[in-house]
Amino acid sequence: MIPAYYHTIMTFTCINILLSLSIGVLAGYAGQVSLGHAAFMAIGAYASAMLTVTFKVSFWLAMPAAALVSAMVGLLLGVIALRLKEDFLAITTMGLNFIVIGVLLYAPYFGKALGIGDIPVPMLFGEEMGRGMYTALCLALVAGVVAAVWWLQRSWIGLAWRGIREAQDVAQVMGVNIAKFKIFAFVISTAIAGIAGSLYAHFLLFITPYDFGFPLSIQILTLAVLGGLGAIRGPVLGAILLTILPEYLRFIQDYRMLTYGLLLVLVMMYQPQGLFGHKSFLTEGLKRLFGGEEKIRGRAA
Amino acid sequence: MDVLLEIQGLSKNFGGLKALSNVDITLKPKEILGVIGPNGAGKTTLFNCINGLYRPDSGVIRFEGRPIQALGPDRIARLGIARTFQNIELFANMRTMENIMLGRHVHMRTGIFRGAAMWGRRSFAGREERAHRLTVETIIDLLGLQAVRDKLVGGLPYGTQKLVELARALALEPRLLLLDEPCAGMTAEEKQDMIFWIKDLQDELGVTILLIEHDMRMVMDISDRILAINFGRPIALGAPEAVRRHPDVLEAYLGKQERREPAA
Amino acid sequence: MGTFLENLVTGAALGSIYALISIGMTMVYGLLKILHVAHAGVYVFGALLGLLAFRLTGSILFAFPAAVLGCALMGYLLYRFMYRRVQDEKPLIPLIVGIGMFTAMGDAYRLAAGPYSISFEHGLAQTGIVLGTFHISFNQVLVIGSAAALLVLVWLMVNKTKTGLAWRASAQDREVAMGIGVNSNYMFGLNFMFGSALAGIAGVLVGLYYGAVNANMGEVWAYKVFVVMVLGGLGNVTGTVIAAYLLGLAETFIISSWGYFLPRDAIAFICMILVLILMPNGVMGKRKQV
Repeated sequence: MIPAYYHTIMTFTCINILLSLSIGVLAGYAGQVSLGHAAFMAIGAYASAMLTVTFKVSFWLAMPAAALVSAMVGLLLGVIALRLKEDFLAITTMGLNFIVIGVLLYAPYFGKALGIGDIPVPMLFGEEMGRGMYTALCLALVAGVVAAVWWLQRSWIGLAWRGIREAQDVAQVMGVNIAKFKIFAFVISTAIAGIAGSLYAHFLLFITPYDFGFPLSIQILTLAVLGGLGAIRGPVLGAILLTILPEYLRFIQDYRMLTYGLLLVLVMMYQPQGLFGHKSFLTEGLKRLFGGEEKIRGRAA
Repeated sequence: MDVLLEIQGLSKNFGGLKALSNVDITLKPKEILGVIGPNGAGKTTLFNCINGLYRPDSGVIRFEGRPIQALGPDRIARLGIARTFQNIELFANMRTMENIMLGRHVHMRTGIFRGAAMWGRRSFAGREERAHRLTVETIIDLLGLQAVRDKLVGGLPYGTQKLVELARALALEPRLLLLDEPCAGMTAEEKQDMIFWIKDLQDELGVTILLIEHDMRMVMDISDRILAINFGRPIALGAPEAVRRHPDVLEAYLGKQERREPAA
Repeated sequence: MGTFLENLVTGAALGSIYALISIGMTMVYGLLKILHVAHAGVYVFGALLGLLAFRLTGSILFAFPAAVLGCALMGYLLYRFMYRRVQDEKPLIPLIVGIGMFTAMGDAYRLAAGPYSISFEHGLAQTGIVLGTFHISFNQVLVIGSAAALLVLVWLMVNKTKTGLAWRASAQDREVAMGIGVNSNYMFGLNFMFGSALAGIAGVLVGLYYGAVNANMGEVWAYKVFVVMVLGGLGNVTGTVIAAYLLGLAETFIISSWGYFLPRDAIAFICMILVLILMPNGVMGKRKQV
């Protein structure tokens, strides 16, 4: 029997991997870094919580619905994004975080500062899911999302996305509809964040707007940036590292925001491709260690 | 239909500068039209107008009878117009194969969601992808790019990059191909090969080509007709020999007298 | 009438603070096209330093020079050791670096000064001018007056000095300015020092105005400054000053007549996003050919 403590860590690791991947998709495919991804997690969490608590919908329907709601807001953001330069778009995503939290706090429907409690534990075969089962569900979802993102990236859609990231104008001359593909990246990314939000809500069983503030967005960004934006490998490894490490190194927990902030500064200044990105000191070092070029293919795709 | 591309009264200004004024071009299918003129004469601007990167200030561009001057570059690409760039514009961090594959983009018929659901080789999307790969392989063979097939294009020699760019444009299976200085910066040998391929494209694939080139010998050699422009205005259009002897062309190139008029 | 005038004064005081904080960021954006988020961290540093100087000496007169010197130094260090390395990268990289630094600074202040508000009373706060029902506090006079004086200084600096000329040239076209040798890392460093000093003064003023200093006081402001910058037309100093006062007044009047319907930062961001979408060059900005 694995102690409950490890279930918690594993569940949070899974949620963080999803969030980090979600940033990775957006950065890698729409060339856009979101500074407000906690907002989409909040939308997913609230949608899922309200559907199950207020409308008594099953978790198994609520979770896809949460992804859908989040993706719809993502679609809206994607449309707005087409009009903005990249750094101002980043600020806009940050603004979205504050607006969403503001609405959740002030609008009468979302439980205001108290949030939503008594969120039901998901049912499986007529019984409440145990912690172990829930962790397994999270792992399965991570595997599913990683597979989906991997398929997307190797399909012609992924090719078009990479073309846009490399040289937007040229991709357009080759017939790629930039707007369509960028918006699609926003939709996929925010749907993943919505799923993460839903998993979070049904794990903690109560949520408040303060869970999803701007500092969380910064933490999510740090996960992806540390690992390396874009690739699947980077965000996944970054999320695992930054979720498990603080459990063993107390000082990271005590100085959490200081650590995350400095990590962002240092990684962006000295390893903008991330620790596990293309030609980072870590991947290069591993390559030298194992020799094989093909073993670690340093493709930041 | 006898006319593939028809341009009437095309003008484009930048601030007060007339980059193109009142250009008329009629291009017949399978024709190679060379565009010559001194630097800054407006040749690349002409290309940018045709493929939608610039929106002309006035004038009509008809492709197969359909006005295209208001369409975006991606729509125009879908109609069958491809181009290469004066300064190579490749996706440097992608492999040769991937660059060319992206040229197939307009032929990808599966929608975003069906394309995403590409489970296995026998699915519709899987079959489609294999068909595209086959086309790309054909182009790679045609241009002799087998050796660099899986290399990142950013690291390839200049001449090879030019070829990859041509291959990518061909992958679109264009009916009109805009080549912006395909031989610039090439060695004499590479130039010979390029001339050979361009002729091949015309003869075997029936591609219509609009070609900007500085190398006079090459452009005279390869073109069916030649258009000379200077300060954005067409100054001569006709058979290569005739254009070369045209007094305005000689003047533009040799600069007998400065005829620089203020941009009004 | 009394309420109207009081709102006007309150709004002007708020606008003065917005202006002083925003100028530094606008100057950096004009020159380097970097969104300098860590600027809000400099502003909090100014407030904390001012408080420290006040506590040590017992006089608010020492608070200002301490904040000016400390913040100028911090601004220079931020440029020299952080932004200079990433100033030529894609704009997102300096932005993320700035946000990371701001996050780290916020946590560092919290560790140093504790999570609670610290009183910054200077004894004169209770005095003021009373005209019938109309009341201006000493603090409001202090904030509006010093902001006005500093804005005149900024105007003189930008328009009448050689450095200002170089600054305007670089803001117009960095490449050209570089080419004729006007521009240099020295220029950029100076720019950071000047803007940071202003932010430091703003920090002390805010501390005095609200009678308290708080490690988290930078947060709302950090984002409001974006709104001011965008409204002011990005990198346009005059526009930014006008936008700062407009925002201060608009906020005060809207809140006094309708109350809060959303948190202040959410309202500010909604305004900013609308402006970005509808007027990509800002309210005061000129239409530019892209």
